[in-house]
Amino acid sequence: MLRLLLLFALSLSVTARAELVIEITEGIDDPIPVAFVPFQWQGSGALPLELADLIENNMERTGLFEGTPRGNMLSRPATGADVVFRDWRLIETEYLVIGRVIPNGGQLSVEYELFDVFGQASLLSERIPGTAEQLRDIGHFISDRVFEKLTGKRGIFSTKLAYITVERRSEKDQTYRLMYADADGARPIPIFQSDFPIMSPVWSPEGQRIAYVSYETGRPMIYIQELATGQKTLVADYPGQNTAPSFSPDGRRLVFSNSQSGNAEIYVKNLRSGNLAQITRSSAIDTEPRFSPDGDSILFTSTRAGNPHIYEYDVTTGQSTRITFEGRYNSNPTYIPGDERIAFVHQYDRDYQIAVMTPNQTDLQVLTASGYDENPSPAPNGQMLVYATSNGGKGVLGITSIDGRVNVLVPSNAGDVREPAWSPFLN
Amino acid sequence: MNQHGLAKSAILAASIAVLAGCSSTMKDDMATDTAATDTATTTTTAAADSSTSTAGVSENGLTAEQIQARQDAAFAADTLFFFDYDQASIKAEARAALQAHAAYLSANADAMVRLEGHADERGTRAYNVSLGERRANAVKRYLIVQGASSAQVETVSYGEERPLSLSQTEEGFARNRRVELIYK
Repeated sequence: MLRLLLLFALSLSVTARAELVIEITEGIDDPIPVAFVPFQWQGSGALPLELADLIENNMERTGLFEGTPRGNMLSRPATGADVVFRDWRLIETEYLVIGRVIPNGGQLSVEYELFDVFGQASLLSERIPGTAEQLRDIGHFISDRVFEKLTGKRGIFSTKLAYITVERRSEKDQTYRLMYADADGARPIPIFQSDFPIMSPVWSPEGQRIAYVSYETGRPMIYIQELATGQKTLVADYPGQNTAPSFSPDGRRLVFSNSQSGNAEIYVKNLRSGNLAQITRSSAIDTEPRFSPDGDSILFTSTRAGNPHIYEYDVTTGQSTRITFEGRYNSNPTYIPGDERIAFVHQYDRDYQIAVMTPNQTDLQVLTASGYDENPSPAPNGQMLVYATSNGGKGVLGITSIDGRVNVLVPSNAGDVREPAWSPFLN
Repeated sequence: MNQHGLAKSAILAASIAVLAGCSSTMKDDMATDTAATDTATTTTTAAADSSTSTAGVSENGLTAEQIQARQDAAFAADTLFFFDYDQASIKAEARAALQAHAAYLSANADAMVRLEGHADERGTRAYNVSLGERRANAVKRYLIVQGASSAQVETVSYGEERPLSLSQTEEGFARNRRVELIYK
């Protein structure tokens, strides 16, 4: 009956066509033009990946940059000595990324350089050794370096996404998969699969574990899975429903919702000692808890005022304070790294949208508009949010910049996609 | 993997088509509802009789025929109970069928039911698990008040994970906001 299947990180049965394909649906008015010159390959045969394409796609997806069309390029330098700044000024390119891939025994090394065209200066120059199989990682690494040099913010291109996909054949015949993929949707790998619902994946702060809810026993229980080994540990099988897990910033505690009292309340479990502490007591639904990055407070959703609204629990005083008042339905809150604001699902009239707001302020700003948006999960640099949305009746992921000006849709060929969780920085 | 995926999408498409057909079978369901209500009305009297005649309904107080009759009524009664948006209150039209189930459970201590609570897709997933649980608990409390014992009733909530309808319409949402009663 329990047809559960564990798939480990080396299962490479997933092909490129099953990957998420990012489509930009909105962009900012004035992205910065950057030329990404195809990298020169000095070996024989073809490389599995064109690095300039990968880096260009990464940078464009932030909405902050726009790649110069290749057909407009007047020269294609591969080293600094070949760069003629005039060629790039003429086509109004502000920055230039060039590089080459050099065979190095059985391996290779990648050299790249970033130039400020108008300042006629080299901003960054590095040589990265690796293998052909590591080219994608190298491309994300270069993207991170270039992004950080140009924006002052750490890049998120080497981070990962976890999310759930569902193939539905009928109401009770569905295949759930917990997926692990690059931040651009490439290289998706199922890391857990079940015929019963899998929900609410969250990353541990060090990025080595994922907690999630699985119904494999017939009722929702919380498990933690080690990414390196695939080993899965049951951590919450208390009576009632065990839902909505989230790690503390030190990774030692798990906060979640459980209904053993007959009603959904928030609990914190110490993962070492096994001690369980109940932190809310109300006759309403209390769920969707999220620790603040400093561990001093916990956001959660509660219906104690009638409709769902967001509350903040102060770990020191044990007091909960309501922090949303606008709209009729606010839920699914999360803190945003390096930002005073929180992100959450907001329903003002009819549509469910992702919104951001500073607690105790009236600066609520709606970022998305599909009408069925939920599950905001911030990138670790706080610059973007991935969220679940609906496109043509099918669940897909969306990524929005934190100011809402750039919104990309991440359609998938893999059934319904839902409940994304953006990893922390992994290096 | 690709062909596999395509085959599955085809199956998915087929099941969507089947489900789309469901909206046209709403009438049939309503017909069933009426039938269920009718049978339930007759059993309600039986249930009311037993609860008035003996304070704690004792199984011994019932004949095999009476138990069989209650089982027949319960098995004929509706097992799907619908709810309003973001609400967990039992609707008046659900009571008769629930009374039939409670009457059978009180007459047969070995009978067990599982109540599966569900929500429509609107709102967030974890919240909807709690909402579905409140619906299942509301049905459980009603069954207990009507004579079932809490040990006979198990609840679980699937939130919005197992919709009956994939239609993003008010009719589709209404079908998905439900508790399913399943004899184990």
